[in-house]
Amino acid sequence: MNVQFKKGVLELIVLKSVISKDMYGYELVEEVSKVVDVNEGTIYPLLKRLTNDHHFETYLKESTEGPPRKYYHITASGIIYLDELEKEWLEFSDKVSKFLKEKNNEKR
Amino acid sequence: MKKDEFKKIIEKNLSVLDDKEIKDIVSEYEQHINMKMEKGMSEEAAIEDFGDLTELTSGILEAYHLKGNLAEDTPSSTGEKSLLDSVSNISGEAGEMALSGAKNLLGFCKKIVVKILKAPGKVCNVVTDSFKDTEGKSGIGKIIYGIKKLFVSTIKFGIICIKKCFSLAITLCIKCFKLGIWLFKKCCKAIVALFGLTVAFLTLGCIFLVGLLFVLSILGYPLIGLLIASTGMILIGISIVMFCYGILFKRNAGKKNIVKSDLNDSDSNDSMIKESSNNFTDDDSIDFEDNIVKNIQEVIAHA
Repeated sequence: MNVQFKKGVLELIVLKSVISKDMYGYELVEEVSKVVDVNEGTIYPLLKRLTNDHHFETYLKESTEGPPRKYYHITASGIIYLDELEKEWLEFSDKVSKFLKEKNNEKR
Repeated sequence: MKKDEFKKIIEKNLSVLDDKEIKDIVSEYEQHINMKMEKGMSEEAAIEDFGDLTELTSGILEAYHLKGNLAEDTPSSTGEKSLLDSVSNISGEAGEMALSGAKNLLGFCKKIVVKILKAPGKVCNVVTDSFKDTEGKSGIGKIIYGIKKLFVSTIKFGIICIKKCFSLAITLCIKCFKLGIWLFKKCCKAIVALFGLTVAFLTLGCIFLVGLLFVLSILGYPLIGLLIASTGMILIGISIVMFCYGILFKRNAGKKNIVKSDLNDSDSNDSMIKESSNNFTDDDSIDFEDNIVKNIQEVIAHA
């Protein structure tokens, strides 16, 4: 998949994944990988950035399988940011699809 | 790559961050690797999934609004400095000093403006105050008494204002004057430097000329007179250059500190006057002006 497409849409996917439940790093990487193929090297800096920009909150939760895990929780500002991103994405993909349709019709 | 090497690289690249942050980040990644290993991956493969570690750490630093390239090994600057570099440094310093001097002046002017703007408020206070203590007097008497009080307090206030304005104006003039002198000194130094350089080039030309004349006179042309003259010119040129060098670089050591401390002035008028009178002990012209200021200040204080 085109790298530029991936980069643009990664924030949206990450934020959306955490809306329903808080997740820890490994879990998030798995979730997002189901939608687009990314590696930890891309996800973790993004998580750091979203946390430092206060769209995420983190907390440690004890786990039965080892040391306590760092969970990511979306904040109010994160939800607002997610809504903006989602809106932008839908508008954008809509426009692009329309454009492609037009051009395809023109060719014929 | 093993976990230990991975840890070391991350810790090194993120060394600008807080220790707690680094520990936090590294332990999160370690956990991630361990979880992957539990699912059956090898240590190396799990670490490979993190991709290029320099990119990873640059991305993390950018999340803290730090420059991403702090993660890389930036070669520290060597001690070499070309002549151009040092010249630009000096002119940069001079520019900075001028700028800081100008800023000080600007701050000072701002304060004066603020004080002037606050004056009307004070006037209102005075007016209301003068009408306050008129309890227990008759109606007309009240009014007369109030007006009297107002009159007296306005006169007093006027006198105080005048005194303040006067001393402020003087200190403002002095500051401008000092800045002017400092700029003038810097200009003089620049002129001397330019002059010295020109003479140096001319001297080099003379050396070349001497060589030429020497060869020609050996060939038989009657140029011995000119030869001796140009040798003389070389000697003159060298002495002028050394003179300029002495002016530029020997006075610097003594005067630098004085100029710097003059421009790092504090706010109030008095401390500025005090500082300046401490610093300029050699300079006659500045002493003279300080004495004037001191006298005026004393007069105002006694008035």
